[in-house]
Parts: sequence; C-alpha cells; structure tokens
Amino acid sequence: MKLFTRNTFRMAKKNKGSFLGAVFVIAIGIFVFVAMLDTLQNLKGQVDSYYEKNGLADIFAEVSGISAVQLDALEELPGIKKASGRLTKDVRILAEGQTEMASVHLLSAGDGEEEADSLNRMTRTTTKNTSGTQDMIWLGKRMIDACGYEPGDTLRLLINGVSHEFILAGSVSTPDSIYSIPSGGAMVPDGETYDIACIEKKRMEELTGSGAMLTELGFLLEPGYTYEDIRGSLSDALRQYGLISLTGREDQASYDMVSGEVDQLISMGTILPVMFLSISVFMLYVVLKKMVDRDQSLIGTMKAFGLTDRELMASYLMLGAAAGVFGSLIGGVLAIPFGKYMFDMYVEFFNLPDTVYHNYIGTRIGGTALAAATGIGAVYLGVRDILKINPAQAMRQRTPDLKRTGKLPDLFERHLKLPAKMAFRSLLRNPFRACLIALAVGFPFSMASVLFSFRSVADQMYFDQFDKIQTFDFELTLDRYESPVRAAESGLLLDGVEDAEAVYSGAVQLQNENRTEFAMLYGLNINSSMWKIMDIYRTVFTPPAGSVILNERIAKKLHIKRGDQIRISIPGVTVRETTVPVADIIAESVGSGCYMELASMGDTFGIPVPANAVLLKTAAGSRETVKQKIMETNRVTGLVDTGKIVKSYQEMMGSMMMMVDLFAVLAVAAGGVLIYNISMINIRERVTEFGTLKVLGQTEKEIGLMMLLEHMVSFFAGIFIGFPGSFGLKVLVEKIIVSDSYTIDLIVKPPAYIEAFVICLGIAALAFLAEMKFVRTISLTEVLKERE
Amino acid sequence: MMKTVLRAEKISKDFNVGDAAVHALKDVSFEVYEGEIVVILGPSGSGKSTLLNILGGIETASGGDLEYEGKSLDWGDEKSLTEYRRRHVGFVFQFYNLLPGLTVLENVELAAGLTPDPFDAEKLVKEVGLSDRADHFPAKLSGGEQQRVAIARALCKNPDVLLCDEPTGALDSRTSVQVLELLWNFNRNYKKTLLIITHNAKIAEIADRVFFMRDGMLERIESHDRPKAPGEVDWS
Repeated sequence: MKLFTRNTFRMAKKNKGSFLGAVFVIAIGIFVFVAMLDTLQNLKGQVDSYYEKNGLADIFAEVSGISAVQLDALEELPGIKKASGRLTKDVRILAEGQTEMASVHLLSAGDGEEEADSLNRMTRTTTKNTSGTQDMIWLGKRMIDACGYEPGDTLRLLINGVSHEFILAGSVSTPDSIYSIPSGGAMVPDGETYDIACIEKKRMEELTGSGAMLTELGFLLEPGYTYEDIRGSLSDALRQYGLISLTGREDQASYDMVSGEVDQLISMGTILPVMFLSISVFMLYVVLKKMVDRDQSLIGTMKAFGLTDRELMASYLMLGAAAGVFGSLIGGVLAIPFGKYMFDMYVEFFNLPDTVYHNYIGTRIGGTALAAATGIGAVYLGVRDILKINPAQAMRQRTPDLKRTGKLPDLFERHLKLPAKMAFRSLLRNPFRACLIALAVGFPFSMASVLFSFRSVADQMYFDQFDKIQTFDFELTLDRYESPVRAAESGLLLDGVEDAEAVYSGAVQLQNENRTEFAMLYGLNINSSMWKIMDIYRTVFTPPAGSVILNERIAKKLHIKRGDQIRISIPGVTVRETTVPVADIIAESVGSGCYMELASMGDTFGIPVPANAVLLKTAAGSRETVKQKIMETNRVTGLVDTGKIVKSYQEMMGSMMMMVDLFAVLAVAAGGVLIYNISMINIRERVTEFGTLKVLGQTEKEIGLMMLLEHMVSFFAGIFIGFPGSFGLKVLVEKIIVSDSYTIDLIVKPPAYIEAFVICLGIAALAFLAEMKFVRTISLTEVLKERE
Repeated sequence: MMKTVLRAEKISKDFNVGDAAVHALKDVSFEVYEGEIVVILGPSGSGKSTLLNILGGIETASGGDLEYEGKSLDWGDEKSLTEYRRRHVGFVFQFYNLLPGLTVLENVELAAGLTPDPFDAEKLVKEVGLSDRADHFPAKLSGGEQQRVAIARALCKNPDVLLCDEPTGALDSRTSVQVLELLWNFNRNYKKTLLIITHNAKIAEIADRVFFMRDGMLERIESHDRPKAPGEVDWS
C-alpha cells in the first residue's frame, strides 16, 4: 500500500506542471479567502466592539429641540430602555491657510459623568490642554489628518454668523459617525471639507443660543423590541419637538455604510474563493481522471494482487490533500500582507479609532481544511472510476467506442480538406477534451470581462453623477430661505460665475399608510441645465409640478408605486403634511432622493420662498477665484464642490480599483494556468497520433495547422460559453454590490469583452506554442513502441 | 549489378541510461539493394528496432554514415529527414498506428497526399481486401484488418523502401500469413525494397537476405537463392 502510494506520487511528478498549476489556483483561492475573512473579522470584530463599548443606539432621531427632562420622559414609552441626546449643529470651520470651505457637525460634549451615561458615546483623545480661559475643540481625525492640523492650532467656528476661536485639543470619534459625510452632496468622506467636532456642552449652548436643548437623540430598545414595534409611538411622541428624521440602526447612514461593506466582504470572501477553488477542482479532476485512465492496467494489477478499492483510492486522495494543503499554506502566507493592506484601507475609509490587525489562526485552519477538502473532493471525482475497474478487463486493451466515430455530415465533409476533416473529427470523437479547453477559456473570459467592466461601472456611478446629472461646479447652502429668482441673481453677482440656479435641498418625511421614511427632497428648475434627473439607464426625467419622482429604494421601503399618493412634510418648514401623487419611480446610481419642480413647491407646501441653495457654474479658469469669494461670505453655510468630490472619489477608487485589478489579474492568471495545463494534458494524450503523423512524413506546419483548427473551434466555443458565464457573474456581482446608498447596472461593454478576448487569445496562443514545442520534442521511436 | 538503395557504414548508437552507457548498435555496416526483401532477425535487445528506426530517419545514429541512393543522410537537419521519410520511406508498425479520426480510405489518402506520385488509394484499399470497409473507422476493424490498412497506407506513398517493425507481432498466425502475403506481393509486383524486423525465424524464409543481429552487432548475413512465398512457408 505504501509502495503504491509512493508510485502514485512519483507518477504525479511526471505531471508536476498540472499539479503545481492546481496548487497555484488553490493558493489564489485560499489567499482571497483568508485575506477577505481576516479583514472581515478584524473589521467586524473591532467595529462591533467599538459599537458595544461606546453604546451605539438602536434608534436615531433628529428634532428641532427637546429638553433633557422631556427626553427622559420618553423612556416611559413601552420598548424604550434608555434615551439620550446631545445638541448638534452644522457650522463652518475656519483656519489659517484654509483652501477649502469646510464645515463640521458640531456635537456638545457633556461632563464626564453625563457622557459616560449617554448613548453614542464619544471617544476624545486630548493631547493639548489649555488655560481655563480658552475654548477647546476636538476634531474628527480625518479632518485633522487631511488639513494637517496640530494640537494647539487655533480654529474658528462660524456660529450664527459670528466667528469664535477655539484651540485644537485633540481628536474625537463617535460610533454613529464612523463614515462621516454631510447630508446631500458627497458620498465619500472628505476630511478637507467635512467631519465631526465637539466642544463643551455649556459653551455650545451659549454660542448657539439653543439653551439646554438637545437635537440629536439616541434610543436603546428593551430586549425583544424592534424599531418597527415602537416607530409609531416614538414618532408621535417626538412630533411635538419638531421631528426632522427618525431611523433605525440599520438605516443610520454610518452604520449602513459600514454594514454594507461588511456584507460585501462576506459575499466577496465567499464567492471569489469558491470561484478560484472551482477552477482547481476542475483542474485536479482532469489531471487525476487522466492519471487513472493511464494507470488502469496498473490499478487492475494491484486489484489482482488484493489491494482494496479504498486502499487504491486513498493513494490518489492523498495527492489531492497534499495539493490542497500545500496551496493553502502558500495562500495563507500571501494573505498576510494583503489582508493588512485591505484592513488599513477600511480603517482609513471608515476612520476607525484604535485598531490592531490580527492574523487569525482560525481562518487559516479553515482555509487549509477547505483547500484539503477541495483537493480531496476533486481527486475523488477524478478517481472514482477506480471502483468500476475490473482487474481482468483493465489489463486488456481498452475496447474502442464504436459509436463515436467523429464522422461529420457528408455535405459538410465534402467541402473539407483532410487536415480540417481530421481536426473536426478529433473534436467530435473526443468532445470531453474539446469541452475542457472550452471551459478553460470560458472561465477567464467571463471573469475578466466582468472585472474589467467594474471600473467603468464605478466611473458611471460617480463621474456620471457629476458629469451628466449634477453638472454644476458648486452648490451653496444658504443660511435662510430665499425666492428662487433672488437666490439665482445673487449667485450671478459673483465674478466668474457663468450661470446660477436656485434649488431646494432638504430633509423631508415621507409617509405611505403607516410607513415612514426620511429622505432628501430636491426642488429643481424645470429646464435646469445644472441638475438633471437621470436613472441608471440614462433616461432623463423632468421635475414634475405638484407631484414627486421617487427613488426606487425609498419606494420599495414605503411600498408605494407610480400613481399612488404620498404624504410629505418638511420638518421645521411646513406645519402640515401635504399629499402629492408619485409621478415616477426611478433607479439611481447613487443617492436616494425625491424630486419635484422648484416653482411648484410654493403652492404645494405653502412655502413662499422655497430656495435654500444655489448652484453655480463658473467660467473657464475662474473656479478657484469663485471658491475664494464664496469662502469669504458668511451667508453661505455649506459648500458642495463637485470637483473636490470627484477628486476624493478618485483617490478612494484608486485603492479600491487596485483590489479589483488584483482580482482581475488573479482570474486571468488562474485562467492562464488552466488553459495551459488542460492543453498540455490533452496534447500528452495524443503523442502517438502526432508521432505517427511525423513518422509518416507530415511536417510540423501541417500538424500545427490541424491543431490550430481544433484549438480555434474549442477557443471560440469557450468564448461562446463565456458570454452567459459573464452574464451570470454580472448578476452575481450586482447582487453582492447592492446597498441602500447606490444601485449599479453592471453593463459589460464591448471593450471589456474585447480586452478579455484578447487576453484569452494571448493565453491560448501561448498554450498553442507550448503544444507545438511539445510536438517538436516527441520521441518518434518511443511513440512507435506504444500501443494506441 | 544490383542497385544499392541504402548503405550503412559503421553505424553505431549509444544510449545513456543513468550513468551507464548502453551500446545499442556497434559499427553495423551493410548494403540494401533495390527490390530485395531483407529480414532482420534477432532476439529482444539485439538492436534491430534501433537499426530500423535509424534506417527510417526517425532516430539519429551516434556514429557512422547512412546513405540513401548514394547520398548521406544529414542527422542534424530535421527538415531533410522529414523529406526523406515523406518521399522515400514507408512504415508499417506493430501496433498499426492508424489515425482514429480517419476512415480506412482516408488513412490511406492521408499518406497519398504527402508525395507527388502516390498510388491510387482506393485501388490499394481494394488490393488489401478492404474495399467494402473503406468508410469504416479503425476502431471497427480487427487487428489484421487494421494492419492491412497500415500496409496500404505505407504503400500508397509509393515509397522506395518499406520498413516493417514486427508487422505480424500482434496478429494470429493465419492473419500474419495474409499480411506477409500482401507485403511479398507488393515487393514482387512493384519491385520495392522491403525490410522486415522480426524475432520470428520462420519469416526469414521469405527474405532474399537475412541479417542476424546480436548484442547490437550484425552477426552475419544469410542469402537465399530461392526465397519462399509466404504461402509456401510451413508456419506450424
């Protein structure tokens, strides 16, 4: 038994290229598996513990103002275990040498005891203490890093039009602002323009003039209760305090983004390794099946000697296990730097505090077990025919398959020359062989075409938003409501501004029956040249008068369809709900807004002057001048700079795309190994055939032509298979990358197919050249000794 | 005076097996004349297959010279060796080596397509008694039938020399006689040179000359003044 195993391993050495190929692909699979899961465990583990440690709330609400006593009273509501809140305000931040108009979401920090007892507790790191006369500010780490602020720097906050000086004392983070973006505008955090900040509660109350009021609330639920259970009662209770928004934890912007990323990591960490491991299963299956076919008489002899099926199979299964374990060791080691790189990327992306990267041994054990199981499973599929081998039969020459002659239809054959006839018949006589090549081509083609399309999808998501939808350069948020005409006119007064339009942009409460959602409402001009409503299929919609166009994701949550009536209220602006019809429901790449015509908002909601923002288009070369002017005015409370958003998106996508490109390279490499190995396995089977042709006097060119024809048929069959494969993969990716914040329509465009085709063609050509080299080295004398 | 087709001058062949050198052929010299049947006889390991492979241009000699119609073969020029095999030599193998994807007729036609003056493939298939199976694939034929196809394929190229490596080695005695009769008729009808290697001494009776090989050396050459036709040989 031991000796038979030794023989099996020695024979496998003759096929070492194929085994190393399988090991390589297993290594890729395990590399992705370990790297993804390590990142996931690190990210999820540390985020969860941060949530836990800092008391992330179950429900989030924003109100115009509620006192601490009134808030405490809400704990009496059934299902509410704890309620806490803080005073917040979005204000502009000013600093020496500032180049961007930045704002901060300013939070009030209670005293130690109060803070320790609150929900969404902030973590403050104080590195600079000041004298008692100076006000201190703690700033989000993203902004500190992006702007290069140092503890002790003087920062100014523009609160209610008055500038106040603060000394930077350190950094602050809260569990509900891991992913910190302003409402409306940017989708990617940008520390240069937005982050959170906190100052002492008393001082904030004085400066904002809000008194002892709280505006941002968090609620913890009693065990057994869900957000849906108490939404109605809580919403009713908060209405009197000017409810602006109410969301469950799942829909809270930061939590949603983080959990969306974690879910994607889980999906990617499952699907990608499965894909790569499937290739290795395929490859090992083919190698072992051919090996057992070749060893049939040997296996028959061993059976005749008395070896059991189990003993014989065990020898081959050990080969599979060895390939799996070896592959997992390589993959596990390679995953260390990559997992760390990915984790660091997420830490930066989410601005996570106090993180440590761990290499989990469990992931590696899991990966090794998975790889060994993959290897054993693949080998089992390949060698299960051992069970069918009858010793006496196995030692005889195999009976040819009389049915499979490979004869083509006469009409077709008549037009073919002999080499073409031989090529086609060879394909028909051994369709399994042809299928193997086709599958080997189909896989990298599908995977590469989808991965190459990813870049354009990401571009479509973000660049389209600012290239085709929001084509303005700046969106200024005004400190008060204005008439659209006046707002636009004041925009045009700025030197360098080519065009200006007034818009409404604000949070609204949407209701359908007993369902409520908070979303952004955008009031746009009917002929707006700077903000179009466009869906992912690039259909442009006109903002409707007296009705709304709803984002598909919100419509789904509200269970509302086109033509239904929807109740809308604008917190802090309208006193009553307004019912309007839903004109259309659209799927958007990013954002989740609803739209209506600005001019109709006055009549619809009873707001006489509905504009609260101005869009500006600058003349060529005057962008920076205009920006500087905007920064100098104190009537502007917020600035959306589309150029800056695109830039920060590009920076973020740079690292993301590196990952996608890496997977594309890995897929192509795995595909290359697959095509090469299957080609070489096939050619080795046909040594006698090609040797005979050479002995008969056929030139390598003639043999090559025949092989080329066979290859071309298999190759194009593979490309043909690759198209549905690509579609399946596209659907899968679309399902993985779905979020509340964006929807993608992954269109695999012709250039991606062409790129994938060229790569596969290149690999197939290399494999063909290797085959030809092999044909050149066939020993004719050895061939002639062999039985067919 | 008989025309010399092949002339071997001190042909040697060494193989390296691990560290040891095996001398498969040692200074073998002989001439083969046009239209004769030569049987190379010898036990296993005597070097007869190696010699046949060298004569057929599918193996190179370690030393010595081989002339075909007075011209030396250039062992280093694969192109000229292919041309030699293509134009002048026909092979019949012990295990037939037919192309499984081609029918009987097409296997023969394949060879016909390699030379400028081939025999008619259909006629040859008929001559080997397989005209009713011309469109059958090799897998459907018996061993004897496959060997007959292999002979037709080899002959179809109209080669000057036909090299047969144990052509009856895988066949029963009755079929073996049929196959040898085909080869003998070809030699007699077309005046083509035939070299057969075998370990079956009975086959030597049909030869004009018999080369006895032992330990890589040509031990002796025996000439038959009146070689027998295969049908005249007592095969029992």
